[in-house]
Amino acid sequence: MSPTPRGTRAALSDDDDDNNKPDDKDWEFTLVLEGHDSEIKSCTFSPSGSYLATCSRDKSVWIWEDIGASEADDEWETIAVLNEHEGDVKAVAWCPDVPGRNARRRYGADVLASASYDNTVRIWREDGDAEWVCVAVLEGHEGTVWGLRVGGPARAGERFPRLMTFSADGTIRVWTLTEDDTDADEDGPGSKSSLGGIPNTMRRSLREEWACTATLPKAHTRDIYSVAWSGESGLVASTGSDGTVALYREEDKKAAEAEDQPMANTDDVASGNQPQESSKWNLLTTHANAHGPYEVNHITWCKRYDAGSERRGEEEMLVTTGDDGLVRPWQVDVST
Amino acid sequence: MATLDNANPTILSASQLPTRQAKLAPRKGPESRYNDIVFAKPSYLAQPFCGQDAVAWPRTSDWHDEFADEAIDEQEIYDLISTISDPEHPVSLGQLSVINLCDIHITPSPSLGAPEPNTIVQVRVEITPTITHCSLATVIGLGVRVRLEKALPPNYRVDVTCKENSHNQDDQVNKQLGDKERVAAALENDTLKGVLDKMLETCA
Repeated sequence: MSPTPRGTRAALSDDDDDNNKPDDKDWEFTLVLEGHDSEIKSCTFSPSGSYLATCSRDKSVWIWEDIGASEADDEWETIAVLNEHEGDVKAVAWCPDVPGRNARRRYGADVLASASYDNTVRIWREDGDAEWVCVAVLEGHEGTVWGLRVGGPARAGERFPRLMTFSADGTIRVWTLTEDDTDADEDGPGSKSSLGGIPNTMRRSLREEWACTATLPKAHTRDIYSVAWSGESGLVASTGSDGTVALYREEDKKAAEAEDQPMANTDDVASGNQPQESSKWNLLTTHANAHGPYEVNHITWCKRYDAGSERRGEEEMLVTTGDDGLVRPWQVDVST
Repeated sequence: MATLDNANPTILSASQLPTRQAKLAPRKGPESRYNDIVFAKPSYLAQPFCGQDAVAWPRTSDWHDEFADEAIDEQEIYDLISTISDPEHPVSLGQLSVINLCDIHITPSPSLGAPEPNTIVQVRVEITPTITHCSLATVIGLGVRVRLEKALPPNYRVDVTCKENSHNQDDQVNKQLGDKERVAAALENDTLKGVLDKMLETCA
């Protein structure tokens, strides 16, 4: 199995479409959102489309809310300026609207995560008073966290989606919300009555526990600038300064558990409340010099609609962009 | 510049700087003193086109190989950056010993021959700011990184760091110099760009 470049033209797959008619309406400029003091590194809409999150070299994350009366009325209001990062905020990502996201009803449904030059990732949620607060700081990376992905494919048990972060330290980490789901509706065992009358800010429940439950096999020698996590196949692709594209797959959980049964049992007993989400990832392949000698800045999964695909609209391919100024599409053949 | 960070730095003269010239002419010891006589060809062979090394013109392929297959080595990197001017003194970074030949590291080593055009080669340069609180360490590092990125082929990755313990905030300086977005943003700053251009003016 190996990804192969398919020339630089196929990336735009609209040329020969009949039923998927390209939208020939011109985009019209409507609005400038002003507020950041320096370069904006990333911006992204929440799953419902009612919020926009932006982040900047000015160390802040801003959340904007769509308050327009209709779709034509483009009006956005700043509802939060989050200043807790100690360095440039390189990327923001919302948790997609998947089952499991709403398990914790004390907060609003939307969850934002931000990655920073200060080597940390922060998780932000809206509390009962409509204030956006940092509920967790994920520490572990030893370099700038260049970005993060939430999700992957939906998993059984409706657990909260996992987070994947990638960094200048050359590692990719997977993080899992470890707080017991049964605590979600209460303030924690035994604390409900005693904390009932205390203002929100005093409640310990304002913090979430996240644990690093996996580190992907090392495949890069330099900064990892981008990771793509397919919501379809669960495959992960990464790339970065070394110009290599690497492909990973998570080990089938049931198969792995059957193998390690005795070990897993003793571990559970010994470590008590440890996260049981730990998973193993395998490196499937690497492809060096994806853009020749140049650095690769971004990678993403997307559906194939070109005539060469056997399953148009279903089959996934990878697309990379590099310092050579090229966009390269990749066919991914995984034999199981 | 109103006040100098280091008003009185140590400056080396040109003859003290490392150069490739010395390497080209190895000093001859007494054991080789009479080589000319001992190994001299008999006079009857000393005619044009007799023997291989008398007047032999270099073969084109040899000539080509000598240039194409030679890897960029530490001295070449040194020559590229030691001529950068210090931002506050009218002398070069080499003369100030901010750049030192022994603090330039190339992986894979150039002694293994010229790398393939797609082989990623790491060039690590450790700079030694003249004083530990030199606020210009970042600017100097930036100048070195920009100079090398312009001069080297695209498969070279340049890492510029402060030599350990040479600077109070070396972690911060190193991190900034390693962040390609920060570097790109710095080059869009007109004031900084002006300073850098001036530093690089003295590069051949």
